[in-house]
Amino acid sequence: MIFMEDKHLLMFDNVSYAYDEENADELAVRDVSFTVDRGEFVVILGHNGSGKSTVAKLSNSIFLPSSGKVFVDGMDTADEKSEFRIRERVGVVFQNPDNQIVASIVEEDVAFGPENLGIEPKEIRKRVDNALKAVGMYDYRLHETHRLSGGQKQRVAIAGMIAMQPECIVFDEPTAMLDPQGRREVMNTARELNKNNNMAIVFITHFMEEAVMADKVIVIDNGRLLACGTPEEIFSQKEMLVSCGLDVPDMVKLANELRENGVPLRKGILCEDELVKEYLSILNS
Amino acid sequence: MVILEVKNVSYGYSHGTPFEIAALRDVSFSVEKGELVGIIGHTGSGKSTLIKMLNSLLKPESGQVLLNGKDINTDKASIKEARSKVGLCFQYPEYQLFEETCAKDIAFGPKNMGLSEDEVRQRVLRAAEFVGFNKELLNRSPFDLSGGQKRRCAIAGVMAMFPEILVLDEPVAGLDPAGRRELMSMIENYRKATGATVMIVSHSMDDIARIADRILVMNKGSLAESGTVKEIFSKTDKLIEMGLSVPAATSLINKLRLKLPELDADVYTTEDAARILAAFYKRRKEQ
Amino acid sequence: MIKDITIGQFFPGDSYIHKLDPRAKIIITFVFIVALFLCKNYFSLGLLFFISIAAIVVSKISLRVILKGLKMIVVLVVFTGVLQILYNDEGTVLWKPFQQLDFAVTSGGIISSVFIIIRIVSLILFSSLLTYTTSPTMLTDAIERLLSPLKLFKINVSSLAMMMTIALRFIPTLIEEIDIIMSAQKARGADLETGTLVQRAKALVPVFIPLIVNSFRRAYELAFAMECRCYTGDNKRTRMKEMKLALRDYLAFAFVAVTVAAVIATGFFDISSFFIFERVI
Repeated sequence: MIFMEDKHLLMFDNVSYAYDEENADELAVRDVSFTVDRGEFVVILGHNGSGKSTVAKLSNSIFLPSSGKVFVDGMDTADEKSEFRIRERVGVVFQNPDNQIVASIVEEDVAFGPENLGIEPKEIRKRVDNALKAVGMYDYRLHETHRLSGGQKQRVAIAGMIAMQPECIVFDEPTAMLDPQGRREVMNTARELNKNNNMAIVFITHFMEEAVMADKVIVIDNGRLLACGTPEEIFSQKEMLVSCGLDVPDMVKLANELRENGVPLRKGILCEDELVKEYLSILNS
Repeated sequence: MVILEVKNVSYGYSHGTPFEIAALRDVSFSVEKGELVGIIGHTGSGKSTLIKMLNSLLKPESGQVLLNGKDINTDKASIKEARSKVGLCFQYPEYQLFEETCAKDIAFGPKNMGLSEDEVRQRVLRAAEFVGFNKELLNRSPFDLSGGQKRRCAIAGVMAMFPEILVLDEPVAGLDPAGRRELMSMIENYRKATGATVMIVSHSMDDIARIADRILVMNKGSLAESGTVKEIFSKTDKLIEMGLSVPAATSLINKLRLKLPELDADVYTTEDAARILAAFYKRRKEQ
Repeated sequence: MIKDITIGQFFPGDSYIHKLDPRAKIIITFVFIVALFLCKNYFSLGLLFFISIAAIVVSKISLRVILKGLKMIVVLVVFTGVLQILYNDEGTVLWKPFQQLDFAVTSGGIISSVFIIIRIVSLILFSSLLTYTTSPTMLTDAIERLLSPLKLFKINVSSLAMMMTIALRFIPTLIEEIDIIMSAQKARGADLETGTLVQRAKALVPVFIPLIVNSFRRAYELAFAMECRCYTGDNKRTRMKEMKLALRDYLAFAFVAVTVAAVIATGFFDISSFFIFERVI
């Protein structure tokens, strides 16, 4: 049992989840506990079918835990009365951009959430405009949603969440179906929301590079929480990652190989810039 | 020996409708038998339109596609032949599975080719082997499989036709690192065993750099570049201009070369980069 | 072919017609269609045709789009036109190609054929203008509000409207999906174009099964996404775009009322340009 502190926005406390109640042995999520602080950027890594997407749906009472508890801002997700307030606070962006856009026109889709919350029309207008500006899609507000690129569709989906003014957005593999440009667009949007709006982000992915700038990385395998730590801590455990179908980022792999070949690089190098700097400095020392 | 020749192929734009197909402008190239050709290009650059030309799913408005020296769009028979000799596997092929069992689904292509039942069965088993499917999996419904298995089943469905040219559009999109590694090595095994020509469309410069003999770069409907891995990825600026990138290792070396111009530039995989940087370090320290 | 459809598409803009209340637009379109069927002579038909052209000019929808929309119905228009010529034997005989057959092209046939063609074209022009200038969501919102009296009979109008919104949103997605699946199965040698009717129906199984399976998957995912955005199906939703009848709507109503009155009034005068026209021919 972890005690919920005020800084914890989201808390999983020994959560298990079975899709099939009768077959309770086959747990999609098993005894998972972790917290997400306000303004924190958490990346969840796991292979396809590891149960990481189930975690996303548990975080805003779309699924309710079979055992254990999930708390959002102190509210129990199993408490039906707080359902709306929980979903207002924690938004989820899913993998397939086509299957989460409801309306044919960009701004009308972004308005969908606030409309469901029964917000005043003028206020909705304001929120929609702000949300579209936050993701850089304001100029597209009157465009048809199905003509947008994958990355643009995902940004519209993100705007749809922002318009509900959440404190946390859970991204459930939002980049898996996108091309490199779309991936960059979505990744940068998530980062900016975290930095500029101090929004907590839970980013579920199987692209290792996307975990490099996280505050915290969680590894999930077969429904279990396998590891939790800073990117440096997680990516120093290559065997563990490979054993559960994952890998380390290219630059980590490269740094490891250099170290094995007698180049005394410091540990904890995660990205290209760090590697360049470190290599040049030991070369000149 | 040239197996496929694309000659001055152009294709128009369906403008103003919700379904714009990228145009092609005077695209020409040829593919040698047994080659592994990588096709890269920004989304909307015409890659998908191009591969649909290769088995006559789209017909060029001008120009020709020659398979073994014969125009594939001559008549019905030539189109049918092209469909069986050029195996096309689209992005997310698992969304096209439809049969009751994987074995039946994989058999769909060979059956349409009019092969005997015995031949079909043998081909299914061989294709299944390439993607690591055992009897048990073959008898399962494709809808009960995991995402990665579905993908492999769908690719086996194209492999089972044993085409002379296997064309794959983003075969590893959406898979996790282990799934990507596995599938890429399955494709390489298939190529080694059958000697087939393989063309792969990919957004991953690292994958392309690792496996391709030659790379075609599409940009705005035209063939912008064609050449070996070295020839293509040495033009970093040009690629970036086209909205593309270079392999992670190349990008790293490029950055280091700003300070260390004597560093070898010819690096496209992390393994090569590690080797070269370690050697360079040793040489420096010995001096 | 299927990809050339422009009817039902929306072209954003800020013309007078775009700004009209969608409910007003629906009612006006309905009244206009009724008026088209009420009109009996060339004077009133000409008036209505002129109005639909004027409405298009005001809406600033490009001529190309309009013509593309009309291209879709060319076959229908020609067919009805020919039918009219075949079946109407009033007026003077102009051409009798087959002496032994009881068939002749008559002045009455041509007149009524032209009449019907203009009628259909005006109908299509005016009703497609409704979708060209109104976003699908606004359209369904408006229908929802117009149908809201049905709530008295315990019909869940807002769920119906939501279904329509989603259907409209997914039509292009599914058309694209069908195209992809068909290409993929053709690439595996499926023959979807030749054979008897039964063979062709059978050949479509590999297209329909994935399409249905994928649609269910999409529906399932969409349902989650909608739940995440607090949709429950029975909550009181507000709307970003309020619908309020403004002066311009009343002006439009008044204008339509006068037009309809004119159409009815000309019906009383049987001098109708109809016969004047015939004499000219």
